[in-house]
Amino acid sequence: MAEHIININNVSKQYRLRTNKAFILKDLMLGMIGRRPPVREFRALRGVSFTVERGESVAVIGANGAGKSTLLGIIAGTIYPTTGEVRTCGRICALLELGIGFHHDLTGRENVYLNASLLGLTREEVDGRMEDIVAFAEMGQFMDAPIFTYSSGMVMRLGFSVAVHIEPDLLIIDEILGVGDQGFQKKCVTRIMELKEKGATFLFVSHNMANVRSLCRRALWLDHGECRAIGTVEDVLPAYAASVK
Amino acid sequence: MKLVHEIWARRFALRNLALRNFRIRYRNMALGVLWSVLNPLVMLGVLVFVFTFVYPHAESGHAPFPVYILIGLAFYNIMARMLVAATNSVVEHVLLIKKIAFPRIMVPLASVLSQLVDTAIMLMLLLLFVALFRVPQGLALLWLPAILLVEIVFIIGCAFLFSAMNVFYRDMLYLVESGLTIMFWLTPVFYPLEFIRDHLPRAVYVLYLCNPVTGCIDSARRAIMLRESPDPLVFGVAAAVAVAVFIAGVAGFQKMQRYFADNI
Repeated sequence: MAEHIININNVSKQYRLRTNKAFILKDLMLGMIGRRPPVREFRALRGVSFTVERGESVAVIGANGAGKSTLLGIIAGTIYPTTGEVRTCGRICALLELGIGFHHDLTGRENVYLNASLLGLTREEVDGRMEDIVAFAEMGQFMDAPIFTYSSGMVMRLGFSVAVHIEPDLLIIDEILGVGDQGFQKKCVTRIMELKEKGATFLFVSHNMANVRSLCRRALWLDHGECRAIGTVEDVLPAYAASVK
Repeated sequence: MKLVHEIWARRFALRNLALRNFRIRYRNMALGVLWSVLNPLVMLGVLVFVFTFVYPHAESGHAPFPVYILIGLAFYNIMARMLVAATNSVVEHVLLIKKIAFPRIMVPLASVLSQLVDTAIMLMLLLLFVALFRVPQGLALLWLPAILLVEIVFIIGCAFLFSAMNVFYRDMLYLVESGLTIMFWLTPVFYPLEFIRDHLPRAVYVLYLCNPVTGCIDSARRAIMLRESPDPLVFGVAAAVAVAVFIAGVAGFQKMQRYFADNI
């Protein structure tokens, strides 16, 4: 039996809708005298279950607000589900909403050290990969300048470069391939293919169906927080396309 | 236990997080790290001036009085600086918390640790003034690291709780700042603990002992001024409360951190 790198079982996520922070104190006081203020809730995910085997590439598709980013956050471990079980194994790196959380006052190099070490790399591992990271991102002399002097394309390139060079077991990419110039996009795809051959697992969110087709075999279609379909790209994509029309 | 293991595996990251705080604090400053020396030096210097020349009559039964005040102030300031920095730490690291899965408790921990340089400078300046005033020293000075450890364990416990609560209620920072002002006067910085013990109801004295900083200041004064070991009861209660707060801090933080990403 193949090893499951992601095992999601009946996961739901409920958010509380907050209208205005100023009412927090009022709500607290109402709570104290036993009158709970009405809480509006929003279910971003309802009962999603699926598994991903090591080495697979799976696309997550769906309209804006379907719960794709919430699902990726839950798998990445930054968001806790309200109910349900999530099991993942190995080193996970997530490029959520274009970036891996750089601090603007620190230099590119300092950010690489901070992020890579938080992802679990040792000092020697980061030292050994630094050159490759800089070369891949085409950063050169800018590595010792603070991030706030970078263009958005540079930030994105550096983030992507860190993510692919820490050699994660699972790489989660949210809408990143649409950014960057043609040359860099091509380089990204090549690098993803290399990592795939080494046995890395990928999870993509994309609205670019051509990218999804070229990179993934399976697709998960989310619709208003529910898993509408999961299966091969050939089955799911046409159904999704048909529903959009 | 699993948490300790995860943090140990990322000790390099802890160092980077602490360094980050340190670098950001001094970036774009002409004097940079010098501020860590200048700031307490000016404060301690003004105090010495005031209690040597302006108001030299203050009596505590402990001479020299400026040193007596400096000890109290140093230990109070260590707490104040660490808590203010740590309370905001989780909110400041929102980008990392939303995008990378790592033990979030490392954020306030690194924030406290990054203040250790300032703490060391503060203590060295304190010892410098002790030498200037020719206060004779003995082996009791070796109690100082243990006293400092108790204080920092207590501070870290508070830092965990405050930084987590600050995510949900941003008023926390103001509460901490106001609380610190109140604690300044409710901690024996400008008066001896013996005064509370001898002149106020027993209950007040017990409440005072529940504040580990009180115990630390009293113990440090005994060690530095009188070459005595800490009072076992005073220091014992301080250590016990510090450990209890630390445990509560870890448990509370771990519970609250599940909802961080939803609230910042």
